[in-house]
Amino acid sequence: MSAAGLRISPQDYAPPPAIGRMGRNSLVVGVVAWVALVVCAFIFPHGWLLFLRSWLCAFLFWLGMTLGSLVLLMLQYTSGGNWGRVGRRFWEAAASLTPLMFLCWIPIAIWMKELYPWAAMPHDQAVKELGQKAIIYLTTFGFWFRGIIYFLGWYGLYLFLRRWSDREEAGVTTPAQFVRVQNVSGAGIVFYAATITFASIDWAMSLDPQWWSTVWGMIFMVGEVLTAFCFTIWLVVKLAPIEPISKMFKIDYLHDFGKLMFAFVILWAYVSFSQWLIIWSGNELLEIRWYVMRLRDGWQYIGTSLIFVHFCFPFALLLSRSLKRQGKRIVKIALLLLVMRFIDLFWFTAPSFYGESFQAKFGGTDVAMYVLAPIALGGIWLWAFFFQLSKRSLMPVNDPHFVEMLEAKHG
Amino acid sequence: MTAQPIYGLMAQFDTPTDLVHAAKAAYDDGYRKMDTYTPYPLEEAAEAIGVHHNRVPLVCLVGAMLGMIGGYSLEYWVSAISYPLNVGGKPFHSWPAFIPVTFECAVLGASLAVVFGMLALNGLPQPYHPVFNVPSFTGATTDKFFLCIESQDPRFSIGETKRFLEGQHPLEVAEVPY
Repeated sequence: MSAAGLRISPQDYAPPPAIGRMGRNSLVVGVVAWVALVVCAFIFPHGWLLFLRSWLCAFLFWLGMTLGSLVLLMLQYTSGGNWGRVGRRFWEAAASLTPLMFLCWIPIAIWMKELYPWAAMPHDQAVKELGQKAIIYLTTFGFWFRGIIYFLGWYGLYLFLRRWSDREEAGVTTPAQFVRVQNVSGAGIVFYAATITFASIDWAMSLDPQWWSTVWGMIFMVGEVLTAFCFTIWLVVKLAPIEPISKMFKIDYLHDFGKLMFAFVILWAYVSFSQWLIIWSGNELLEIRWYVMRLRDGWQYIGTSLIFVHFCFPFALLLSRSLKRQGKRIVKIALLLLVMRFIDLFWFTAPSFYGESFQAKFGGTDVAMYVLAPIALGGIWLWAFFFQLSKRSLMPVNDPHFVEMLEAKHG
Repeated sequence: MTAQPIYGLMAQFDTPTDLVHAAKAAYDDGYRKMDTYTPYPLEEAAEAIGVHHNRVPLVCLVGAMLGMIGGYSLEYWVSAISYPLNVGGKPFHSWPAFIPVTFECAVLGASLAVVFGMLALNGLPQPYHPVFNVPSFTGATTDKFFLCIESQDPRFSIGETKRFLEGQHPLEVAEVPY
């Protein structure tokens, strides 16, 4: 199949009707979960509080999907590689949902007093207990102000890359402009690393305002990119057998995504273990408290499951080359890892609310809320995602390297 | 058999796509003892000639295991047996502290095993190979793609194999002397 002289247009890779169907299904699931979630929030004792707590966890999970995709979008512009061209439209659609995540963040900011102890404390007590932190960083104004800056920055990066991508689709870009896109992407990754560090401190670490960990932001970064890779694998396995992607898809792309997911599983274990090793070695009262709380009264089962199901099990399976090339099998690992991503965030955040007794305080109502919230948010997120995906071609056919992707594989 | 035994017949192609198509056709035609030569790694060509599973992953796993066990044992011996030190009141056998060294040693063992295992399984270093007897083979390091069907193949016959290769749009088909 020689592509020389053959003009491929974006219409050749128009989205199939299956995408509209997936969007509708997501919406149905989302709406049902929303109804159940709202009913639960009204009838359960402390329903509203439970809603906010589970909503924070669901928000952090789907924020990871959105921002992880934004990072992959920037990363593939700087690194190149065919895997990046396969995933580009998916990540553009996911990153375009940053405003949706901003809307989801607003209730957290409005009711921060219900979630964050530092926000609920009277100012004098906060200064006494937290010192400088409470004066210059953990303030209501600071929380709002920084949050808005993060979202503006992330959405700005997306808009820049999207405008360029639309111009490429129209066929009016030059190689010199591409260098600019690469430079902005490189700077964008640095911006993301800085902002997600602060954001993860604001939104998750400050649930326990006296505790700190310097690798915290890194754990969030790695987790978010891992989430995005798992999501991409699920999408690729769903869409690759259908036209139009089936026209150009090679199993090597799935293999590449599998390898990258594998790498991020290891990286997640590396940074999570580093945090624990450092705090365990130091054994300082203020630091170790955070882990002690998470390693007793029932929480230890969740922590241990993270070691085995988030790392050991997928690690052992993903070592296999042939498994990474079988869609049906690798998608199961990707979905398992997505569940574990949520449980990881749950284990990071929830013990701060429930204190030291998991068994006594964490009951069926809490489980129901923590299951419903990510599904409710996710249904809406996926519906919006598939809507964004259905508006454009599924492959960047005007990318200078796209024609090569139709040839036999080059190295 | 011809009077002068040859190593095989080698076809030269201009593009990787032509090579992969020719290699697939040769495999479908029943040829098994053949090899492709390309200026850069071309996985599809390896798959086209039905490349067998190799033992490099196994060698890698064994290397990693040995490194892991070695690293952990060394730490255990040093910290718990040979020179026990009380560090912050922790037990002498503090396994979490041993993990980084265990991990690094596993990586070291795996990488050494993989590099030398790969060289050994490839039969390298190999000072002589018959394909270099074809003058145009120098193109394999720049921009040409080669498929060599070896005379050891039971399906090989000089006339028929030559006709087969010439049907695959090569730039040339050359006999490879020993």
